[in-house]
Amino acid sequence: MVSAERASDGRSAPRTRLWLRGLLAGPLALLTACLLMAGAALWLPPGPAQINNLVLPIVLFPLLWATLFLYACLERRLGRAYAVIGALAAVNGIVLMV
Amino acid sequence: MTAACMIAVLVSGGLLALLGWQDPKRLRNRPQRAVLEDGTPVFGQGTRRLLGWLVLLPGIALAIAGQWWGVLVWLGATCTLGWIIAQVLDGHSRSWS
Amino acid sequence: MFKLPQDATKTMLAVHGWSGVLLGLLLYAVICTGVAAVFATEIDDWASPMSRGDTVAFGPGLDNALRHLAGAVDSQFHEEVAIWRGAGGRVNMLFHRHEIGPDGKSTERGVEFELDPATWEVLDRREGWYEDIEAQRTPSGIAAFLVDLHVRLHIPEPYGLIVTGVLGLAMMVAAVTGLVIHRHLLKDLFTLRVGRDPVLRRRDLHVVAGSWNLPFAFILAFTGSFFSFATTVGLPMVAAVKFDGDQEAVIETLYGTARAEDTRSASSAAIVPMLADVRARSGAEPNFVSVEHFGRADSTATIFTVLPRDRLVYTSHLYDGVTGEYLRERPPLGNEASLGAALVGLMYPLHFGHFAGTASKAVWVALGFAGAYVTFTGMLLWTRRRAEQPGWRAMTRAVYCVGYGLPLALVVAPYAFFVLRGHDIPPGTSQGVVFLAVVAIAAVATVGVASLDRLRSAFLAATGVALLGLPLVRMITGGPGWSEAWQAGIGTVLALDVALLVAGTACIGFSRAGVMPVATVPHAGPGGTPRVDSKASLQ
Repeated sequence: MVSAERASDGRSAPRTRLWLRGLLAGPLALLTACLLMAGAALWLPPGPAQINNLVLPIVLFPLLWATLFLYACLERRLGRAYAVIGALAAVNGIVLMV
Repeated sequence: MTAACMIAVLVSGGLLALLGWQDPKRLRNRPQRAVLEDGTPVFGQGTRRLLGWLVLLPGIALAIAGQWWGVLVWLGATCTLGWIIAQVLDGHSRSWS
Repeated sequence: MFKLPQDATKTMLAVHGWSGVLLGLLLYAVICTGVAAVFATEIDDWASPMSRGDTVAFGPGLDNALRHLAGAVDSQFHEEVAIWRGAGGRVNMLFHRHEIGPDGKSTERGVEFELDPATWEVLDRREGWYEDIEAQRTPSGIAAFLVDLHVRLHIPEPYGLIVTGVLGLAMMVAAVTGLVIHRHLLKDLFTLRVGRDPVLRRRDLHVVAGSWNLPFAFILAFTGSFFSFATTVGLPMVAAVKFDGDQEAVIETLYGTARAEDTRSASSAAIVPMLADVRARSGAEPNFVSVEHFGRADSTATIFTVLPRDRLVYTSHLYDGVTGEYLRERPPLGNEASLGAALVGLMYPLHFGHFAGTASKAVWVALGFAGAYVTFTGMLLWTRRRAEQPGWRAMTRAVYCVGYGLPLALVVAPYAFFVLRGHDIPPGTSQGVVFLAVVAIAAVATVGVASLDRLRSAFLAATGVALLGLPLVRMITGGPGWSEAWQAGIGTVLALDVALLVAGTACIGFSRAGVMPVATVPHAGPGGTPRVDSKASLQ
């Protein structure tokens, strides 16, 4: 991650950006995965047995987090990574509140 | 384990042994005394690719036959055999650490 | 195989290394115990065999025993009766009701009987909250200890499950990043370089094992993570969103209500004919029976089997508990087939490897062993490359301590089970104390010994001796000898004894095998100056 920070953002504040990226990849990605899981219970179709919306988000939760984590690590533009993950969190947060 | 699954594992394992035995990178990296006389592997690249695809064939056959549990056993056993073959062909018993 | 930009590859390498090294020690413990837990049933049968090996757990006499014991317990515990095959073929029968426990969480309370399947004699009676009953199940003590360590590292719920869930996520990330950082994955599948740089060889050994193990590392990590998070995070969140936090309501929706409530009394149908019917329908041996509302007009019986030969997703069979009529086949979740139920059902065989008997279990053990090897070698590779820093040198020692000390502790713990079996100490407690004692001794030895090579040899030799001694201590403490086991047809006892002897001999052999150069980790010299034994250690 250090090398990616240096390559894309210069040498001015790589440590701060590293922490910011760590924050996004770790706790924020986890929070977003949780919101996605909870939100999906509301917007996923329940299917013929009426349980798909309850079960699929729980089953896919580890994959959701891993995808968000790797995306947060690999996206060169940290701002865009925050925007994408933040949008996902916000949309599902709104779904949960409405 | 049914006979079909066992045969699938044996076929893939045998092909992996062949591939490992004639693996060009492995042969290149062996100590000088162990390299084949002419220094080149027996199989060409085309043959190696064909053998590589053939390794997968028994698993595909099990899947087509609908034996999904067989596919899992085959995949697990083939991966384990691949690792064992790599270690055995290495021939160096010295521990990692 | 994958051509990421150089920066991205470096990032992935950093993620791969840090995810492994930060959580690797705990992950290694989870994997090692998981490897042993694959054969949990066999370990139970080996440690606590019955006098006959060919006993059918759910044979004739089950219904008489059920009716007789139902009359011996408080009728409030007729809410549900669970019957399953226990250690050595014993029949466990748990009469219980669902209640809120002392900690405010939903649990069960009731009375459990342990029965001899041949004579239906009550071998043991346990009662109380489910956790207390579970702790008293002596015959399955060894496997339960291993499983608890694997599932939650003996950390109280829900924290233990959350920790192992995070470990699963770390393993998944390590597997994915391991795949993408290796550009020549297929070309290097057989490449183990010798005679050059020992660091390169160590890297090759790690990479080759990791490459062959990649698909299963991902599968085991994903499914393990699912099992850890499903009840601790997933279910409460879905309950909060859809059912105002009522987890019982989620469970009822997921499992479906079998029948409309009818509290009138009614005599219960016989279970044995239902078992015969299930055998005929599925071609598989039943291993779990759940009777709901025993003695009531709305009673149902649900029968589970081991996975039939050609299937990966389990189902159960539902019967009317009063008339004995077959009602329907039930998917793992819900009342009819669905993608969600199929995926959940698939998680079990993929994680436990029990879908094709001994063959699949053996393969899963081998893959688990490879996973432990990859984790261990990865941690050593990472720490040794940073050996010039005191912190990493200490970490190398910690890796040695856990890498070789943990298997030793796991092998010594069952001695406590056998020696203290007749006493009042729960098997989990006795094994836990011995396990921690061995870990503590290993830690002290690791700190005090200068040569890690010697430490490795000593740990391996001790593990070998402990493995060789296990069959002996089993027999001395009242277990059947080989001749007796052979005559009684208890094949598991013989098979596991032989496996232990082979493993013990192998460990002793490995302890005497030579090691590659540069095995001694730099040790703090006089005045705290690092003393490095070879240039290679610094790389």
